[in-house]
Amino acid sequence: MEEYEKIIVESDEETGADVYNRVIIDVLSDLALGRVLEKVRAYIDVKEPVFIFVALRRFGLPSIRLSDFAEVDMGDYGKNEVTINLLKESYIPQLLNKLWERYGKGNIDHSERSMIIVHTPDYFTEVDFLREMVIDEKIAQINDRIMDAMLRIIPEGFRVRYHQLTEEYVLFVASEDPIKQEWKDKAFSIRNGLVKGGKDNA
Amino acid sequence: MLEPIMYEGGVYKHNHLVELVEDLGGYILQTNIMQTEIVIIMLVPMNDIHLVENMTKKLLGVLTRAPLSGTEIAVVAPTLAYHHLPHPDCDIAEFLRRKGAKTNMIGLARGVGARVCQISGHERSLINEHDVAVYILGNFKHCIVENKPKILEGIEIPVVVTGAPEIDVEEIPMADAYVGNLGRIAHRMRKGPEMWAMDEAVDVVGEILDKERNELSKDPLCVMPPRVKKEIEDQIPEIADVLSPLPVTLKLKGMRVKLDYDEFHKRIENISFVEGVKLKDIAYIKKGLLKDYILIEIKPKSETGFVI
Repeated sequence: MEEYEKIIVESDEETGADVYNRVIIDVLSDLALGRVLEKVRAYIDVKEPVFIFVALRRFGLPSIRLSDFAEVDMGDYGKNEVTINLLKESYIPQLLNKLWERYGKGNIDHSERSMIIVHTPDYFTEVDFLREMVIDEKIAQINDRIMDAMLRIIPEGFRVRYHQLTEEYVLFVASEDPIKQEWKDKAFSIRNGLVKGGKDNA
Repeated sequence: MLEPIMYEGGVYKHNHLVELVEDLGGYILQTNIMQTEIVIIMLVPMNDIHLVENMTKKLLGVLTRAPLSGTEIAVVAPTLAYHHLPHPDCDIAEFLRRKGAKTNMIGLARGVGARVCQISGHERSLINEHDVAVYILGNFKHCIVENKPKILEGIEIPVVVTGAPEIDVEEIPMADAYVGNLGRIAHRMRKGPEMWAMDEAVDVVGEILDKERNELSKDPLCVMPPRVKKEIEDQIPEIADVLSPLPVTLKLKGMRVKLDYDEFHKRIENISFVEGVKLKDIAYIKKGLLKDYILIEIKPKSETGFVI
């Protein structure tokens, strides 16, 4: 049944493992990562000392592109402009920042609440570019939060670190001494077990 | 013999209680007014406690013993990072304050890690300025027993260590007491076992202080610290303008006066008592490490030959 447990902390010291389990739960819930990480395995050996953290990730939300929440078209005949008709207001701040950066503030006209006009001589090509423009990258935010959680979870003095962060898993080895190959191997074997288990269950 | 007591009640007519305590020869150590509520920490002569109890009943307040009153306790964390703050360090400090102590939180510069942890001479002296040091350590026995005693080295005051596992205090070199079930956690401590553990920590600190007070009574100080506090408040009016909490913080054997040493130490030295002595005759007046405040260490009777 152990493979179905969400969080397992392994250590020679039972009390330490139990409390660490609680620390991991607290940190993940503080950073709203409970649904991002599917399974978490930690291994702590204070005698070495080493801290290994491996977590299997759920597939996150896709990036938000401009065409997901707006209609992008060329302006009226004879005008060098692209019109963006906003269907949703929630991404306006990020969108305006990106537009100002690319075209300059003077070329962005946002006089109407749900309409943005971009003045550009290359309107013909820019229309397609703007439709595919990534406005909000959820995955980058989640990665930042995962790294933040890692730094909060691992013991503070363990400042020598090795990590892997992919779309499938997170792997962290931390110690106060140079990272040994055997610790990495241990982390890889935990990771392989988790990834395989995850695929079997799927 | 004065008994440390805490009064909790309404602000209305609390001055009756203050006057009563002063008439009885007791001392008001601290008053905290929170909107319509007030908390008064005071020292009352043991034989007259029933009078204060009667007054408390009349004012519909609550009287409890505050064994940590008149003490300054260092709450020491390996660092002041989010690994230790606000939980559990602030929670434990809060519990100590509820029993009347003044706590100072000290984060070591390089107290983290197992092999690499260390404490500097400055930090050591700073901790030694207090009455008791409470070290809040982590979740693993090996770490607490084998590695962390390095940061307890050179501490001359009693040391209480807290951590998650159950450990016999004999196993931790240089520690005077150990309290379990208080490891490194990341949530506010509010569940039963956590609260009990914090109560136990407070009790342990109280016992240590009682033992210290007992030791002290064998060779008493030549003047009681609360009396010096009162004289400072009467003779140095600038103390009323100090915004720091507890401008005169009492300790077991003296006090910390939150005024600049260079500017005020001459005036503090010349504080006079009705018996005809000056403070410099009965106390050592030093520059403290905390913000250059003035540290007063009262001499024992064996040194001066008299008690006032």
